[in-house]
Amino acid sequence: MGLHAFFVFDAFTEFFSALTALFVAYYSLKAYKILDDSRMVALNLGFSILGVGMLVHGAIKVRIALAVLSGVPVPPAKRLPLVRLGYTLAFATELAAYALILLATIKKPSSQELEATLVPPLAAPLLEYDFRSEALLAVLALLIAVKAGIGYSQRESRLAGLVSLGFALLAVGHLLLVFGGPLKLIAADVARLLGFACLLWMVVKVSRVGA
Amino acid sequence: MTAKQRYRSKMRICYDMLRVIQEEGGEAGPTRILYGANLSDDRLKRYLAELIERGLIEEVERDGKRMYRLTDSGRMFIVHFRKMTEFAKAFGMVL
Repeated sequence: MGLHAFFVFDAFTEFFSALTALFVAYYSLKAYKILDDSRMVALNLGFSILGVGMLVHGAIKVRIALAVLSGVPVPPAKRLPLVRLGYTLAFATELAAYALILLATIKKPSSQELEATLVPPLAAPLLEYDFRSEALLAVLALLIAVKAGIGYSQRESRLAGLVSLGFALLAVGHLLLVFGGPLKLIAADVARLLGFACLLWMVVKVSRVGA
Repeated sequence: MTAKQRYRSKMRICYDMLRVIQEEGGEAGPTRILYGANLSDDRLKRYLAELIERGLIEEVERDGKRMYRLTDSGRMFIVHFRKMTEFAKAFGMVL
């Protein structure tokens, strides 16, 4: 895959994931209005933060890609702060989002618990691609996959299988970033694309219930 | 009712009442709703008033008996409630 094609694919993955996350957030809000359950607030907050974070990260990636592809030599030192800002933002929003989604699947959270979940990610220092942060995100995504998987195995919902598979793929995506390398970067993007496709499929199937 | 389902939210109770009316063919008397939705007399009166106020059911008279009829909004509520329950279950949540 050429550099140009990689940038296009990477940006597409980021924007597709962001829009899917925002679509799930919208459904969570609808669910909150109908079910009147505080877990839906946590789910809505989680997916909203995830979606907005990825949209901004995607925009930063496009900005960097355009600078690289324009052929105008830009010293890496000038690009680095933007790369670090983008990654830090992506990490902080994903950490907050996964923690909120996991919390929603475990218990009905109080407003204090919701606030407490949001504080640590806000305190994240500027980071570069780092195996520890990706490993942490992979563990959280895996825990969400396990919780949904338990729901699936108890035959409470077939759709839980899609959520479980989706988050398992997101965990794989983070794990691939832990090991680094250009091919693994593409594989991580593919895993993330498939993970969000599972979540999108789940929402589409929910919208067809009773139709 | 299992131990896990001991607590029912207000919306769940409304859904249960509407479901009973739907299962009765779209119209049911208060006694049928009371038993079907497992409610006390007090709660039944309170929730019936709320469902009428929200336009989900309407009160009608049949042979001198008071009956409650499901409205189109009530039918829509049942469909949306089922969809959102499936959505919550997809994340492993027990409602």
